Amino acid sequence: MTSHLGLMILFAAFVSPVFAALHRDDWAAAKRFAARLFAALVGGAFVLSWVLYLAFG
Amino acid sequence: MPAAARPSLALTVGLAWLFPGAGHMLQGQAGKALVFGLALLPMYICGLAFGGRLFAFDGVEPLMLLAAGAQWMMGATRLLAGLAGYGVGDVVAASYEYGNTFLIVAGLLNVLVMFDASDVARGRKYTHASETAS
Repeated sequence: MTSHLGLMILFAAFVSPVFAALHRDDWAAAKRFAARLFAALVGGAFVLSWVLYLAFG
Repeated sequence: MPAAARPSLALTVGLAWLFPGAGHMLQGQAGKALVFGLALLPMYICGLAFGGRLFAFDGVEPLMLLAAGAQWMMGATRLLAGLAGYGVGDVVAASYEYGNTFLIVAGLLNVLVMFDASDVARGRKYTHASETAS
């Protein structure tokens, strides 16, 4: 895989459940935490990349 | 799990280092163990598949020393990958740096998992067989 987006999504998919399992003991809360963290990682990267593109692109 | 029946701290942390999630499995948290194993092992394998490099302990390059230390936090996985000849590092591959990142982060995440397992072993975290307590 050489897609930056794909690699970023894969990275977020691996990291999110680990942090969720570490920080939440309740499974329902852990799933919500993982989903929010995944969205934050991917969404944050999108926002940052647009900011960098608009500033320096 | 009652404190008296709880497996020892050293064994828990040692197993957690050797296999991601094994420490939690020993402490009766099979669900968490499964999550850690299913996330960290594939992450490490992906790192190798992306052309990442398994760094050697080289005192000349401090950053490589840190990277090697982080990668060795995956215990048996790092050992087996090294013995099998993986992780030579494909520097010209587009995903080389991503591979390194996956390998290093997987090791660092396992450090957090080891700390968590040690907290469980010491009784600092509430443990429950169904893992439903908050």
